[in-house]
Amino acid sequence: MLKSHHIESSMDFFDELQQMVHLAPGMRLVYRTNFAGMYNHISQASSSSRAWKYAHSLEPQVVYFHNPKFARQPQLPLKEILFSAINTLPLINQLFPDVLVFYDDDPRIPFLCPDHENDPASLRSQTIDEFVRPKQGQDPAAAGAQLKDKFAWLICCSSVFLLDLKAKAIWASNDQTLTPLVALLMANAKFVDDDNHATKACSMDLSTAHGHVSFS
Amino acid sequence: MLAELYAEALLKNKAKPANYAELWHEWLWGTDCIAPVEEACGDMNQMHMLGLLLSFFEALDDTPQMTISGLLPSVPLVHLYRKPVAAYTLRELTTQVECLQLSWGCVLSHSELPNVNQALKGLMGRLGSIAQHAFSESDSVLDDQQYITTIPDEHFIVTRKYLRQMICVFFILFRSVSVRFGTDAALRAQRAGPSKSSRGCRWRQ
Repeated sequence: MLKSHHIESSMDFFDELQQMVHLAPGMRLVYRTNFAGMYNHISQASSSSRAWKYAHSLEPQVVYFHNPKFARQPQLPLKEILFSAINTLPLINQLFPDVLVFYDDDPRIPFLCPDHENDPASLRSQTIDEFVRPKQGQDPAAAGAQLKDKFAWLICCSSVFLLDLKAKAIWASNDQTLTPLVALLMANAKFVDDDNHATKACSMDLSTAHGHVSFS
Repeated sequence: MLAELYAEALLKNKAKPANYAELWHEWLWGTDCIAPVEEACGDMNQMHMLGLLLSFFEALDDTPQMTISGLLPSVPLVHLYRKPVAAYTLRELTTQVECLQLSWGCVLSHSELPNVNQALKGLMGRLGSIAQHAFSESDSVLDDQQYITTIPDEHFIVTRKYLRQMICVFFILFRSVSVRFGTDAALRAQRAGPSKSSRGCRWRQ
């Protein structure tokens, strides 16, 4: 089910995720409070450090502020990825991009934060939306609406939970893997494995970066 | 609402209000934790204010002998001090909370819910106790210069920045306890009662 191209396409999210899990609990919220109005993204770099950043290695400001020794870790090989939930989640997010991801310091976590429970507009992930584009030729609201309404990921102090928004339940894996949660997700999703795809030109229902014809 | 709670329950009755559990839930899940701070609220937002008020209420609990090593015996990494939490200085409180943060996954994995909750509430109560008082230079409580400021009569109090920082950390730690141990408690219920789990998952409602 998971292929090497899932690793490549999920690296942006993986890099962001590892910055989050390398922070001590609550430290992003502390940063946002202490530097109110200046926070935009976990990987932001301040303007004063921009020249330094380009002259040297890329240093995410929030992580660097709290952990100066932070060094970006490479993604695991495909065979080892499934042993770590944090490493697996970006790949699973490629398979189910409609399931939003929330962090423990997000102010609007569906089902847990009651005020926003019935407000679909508030169900926006703070972080991964920019990586998920609606597919051309489909109604964005309808695409994946079923999964988006039913499930969401919650990353809480480096552990991954699956929120069942309909059943009002929180699911956690018994081990360090994401496998039981993915099984639960797949049982509720219409999922087509890549192996079942016929290789054919398709320009109608797939979105590419610049509108090129793509192969599925 | 917060002002009424402070005046009625804390100052007048010196007891937790009847809706104390609801207040906790409101703090953890009902407040906007990233709302801008307001000057009128002492450079805090609603989450900070409610959290601070809860720390004042936790300071009412009389647990003079509570120690971290006694509550979390299976996590020696976080046993920094043998003294009771109620006797922590500002620096010791800060260091202990930072230590818990760094070992938080280990604490959650090897400890029971009541003990983790009590340890966190004890530390939060100590924060509330320190935050409520002004100390003179002869007191050794405020021993970290970077987190204190002077007030008239040559007394010292902790800074707002420090309070905001600590409340934010407690906020996330309590959120993780709520999510994590909700699942564990339900797992125990699931084993005793009808099965509602599937394929290695735990559930909470």
